[in-house]
Amino acid sequence: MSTESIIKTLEIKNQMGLHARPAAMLVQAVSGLTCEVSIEKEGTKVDGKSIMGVMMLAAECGSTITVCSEGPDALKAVEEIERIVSTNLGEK
Amino acid sequence: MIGIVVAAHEALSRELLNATSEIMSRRPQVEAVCFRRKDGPERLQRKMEDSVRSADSGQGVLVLVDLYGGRPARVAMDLALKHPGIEVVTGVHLPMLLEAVNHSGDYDLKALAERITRKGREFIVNAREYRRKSRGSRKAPCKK
Repeated sequence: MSTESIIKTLEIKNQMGLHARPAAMLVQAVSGLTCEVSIEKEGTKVDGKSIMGVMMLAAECGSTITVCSEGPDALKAVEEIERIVSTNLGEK
Repeated sequence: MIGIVVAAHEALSRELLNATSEIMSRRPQVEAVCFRRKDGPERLQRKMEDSVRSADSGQGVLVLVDLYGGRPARVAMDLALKHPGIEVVTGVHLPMLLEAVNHSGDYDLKALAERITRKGREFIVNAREYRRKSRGSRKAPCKK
């Protein structure tokens, strides 16, 4: 089993930040992947496969999150999250 | 996957399910039982039994109810006392339902019930205090 570990820092750019629907979108994109995902913001680290965990970050527009993934699908997980965040979480 | 039933007074369970569906952009496999004032005991029992049966895929059912001591909780507990494959957790709110749906495939029934009970408490925070404790310096929000 690969122990690949990927870390990526991303900025939240959509106006409403990482609220409920974007958090659910992000979590559902990685929940089926074979890897652990954590998301950290200002020292608070949560499970990236938990909608409520991600919600509790309350990451607003302009904030920075650090995504860390470990396991066989780590690269795919980080790329998925990066894609979703870079497309403004499906919002403006 | 653990089956999930939400049972509450009036339309609360249905609206919790609607909100969860909206947030997740899909209809999760959750049964909502609405306890109407006009419903008699037999009807309520039958509604609960039907919903639990529909939700059960063989790995057990977690029933989330609103008020401990209320009719939904009592009807659910009556059923749970007869069937070991049912766990009942009270005080349901939207974060608990999201958490249950999110993790229904990750735990066995007892562990999921324990997690939802624990997390349900954790998700209730004094927002100002929580924000103060969990954040250091903030960046300025984006301009419109």
